[in-house]
Amino acid sequence: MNWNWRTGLLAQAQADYRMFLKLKDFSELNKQSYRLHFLQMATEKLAKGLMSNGLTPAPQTHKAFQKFVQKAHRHERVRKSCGFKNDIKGFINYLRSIQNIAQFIENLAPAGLETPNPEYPWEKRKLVNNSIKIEVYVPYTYAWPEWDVHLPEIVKLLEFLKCCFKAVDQELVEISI
Amino acid sequence: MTEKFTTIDQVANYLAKNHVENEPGLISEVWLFPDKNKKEVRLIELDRTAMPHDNPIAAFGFPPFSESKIPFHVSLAVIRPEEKDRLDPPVGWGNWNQAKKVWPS
Repeated sequence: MNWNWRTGLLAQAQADYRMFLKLKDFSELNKQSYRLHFLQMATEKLAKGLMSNGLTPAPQTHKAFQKFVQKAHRHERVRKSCGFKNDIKGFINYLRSIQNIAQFIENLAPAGLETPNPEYPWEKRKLVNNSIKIEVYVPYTYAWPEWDVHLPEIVKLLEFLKCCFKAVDQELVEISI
Repeated sequence: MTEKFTTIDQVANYLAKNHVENEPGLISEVWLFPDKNKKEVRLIELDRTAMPHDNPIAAFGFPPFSESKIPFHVSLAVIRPEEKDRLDPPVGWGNWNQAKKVWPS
């Protein structure tokens, strides 16, 4: 297989996504931080891959998924895979309803000492009795209340990803023939 | 640690309320389907912005995890209101007549 920047990113996104899906089958690994880590990596590469022309490397930034969700209605293969072939307005409404959760996923990339993320410990500073108290949080032990897996917007995001990766599968199969 | 829920009905009512409050104006109904083993919370929510579905409906399942106050497996599908009359519930969930509307209650 001769990879280019687009197919390479999409193939690696697919691998990260498979890990995200697989982790829930193992009770000893059923920790939110593990799954969120793979979800963040999968969505970042998915977005960069689907927005890539294949010729130039993706920008060196973690910020890609939110931008992709905003523009996904223009991506015909993804739109069709999601069942909105001729209903662009309906797809835009759908995409709007997952914007907040897409932003949350994008923000999971490690960025500074005070950002909650599933990869590195972070800190929070609080003013207690006129002195600053530093609390360090560990992703593995953190409860991740921000990621309430039972929310419908998360189900909608997961459906969206399933459809995106179906489109990716088709694209990768076509170029491998 | 918040106290864990003990029954499926408690969880269904909690999730329905929580979801409607989180997505005001989007979710019009929440239906609970029975699980004779009483191990799974089976919900279908009607949301006008949902993705179109094939028949039968496919739900996303979430196993319980240690940090959660929900000790049950939760399966949730989000469909369009107009699909309720033409789509069957996920395989093994029975039919719409066996479901209980938990929102609006």
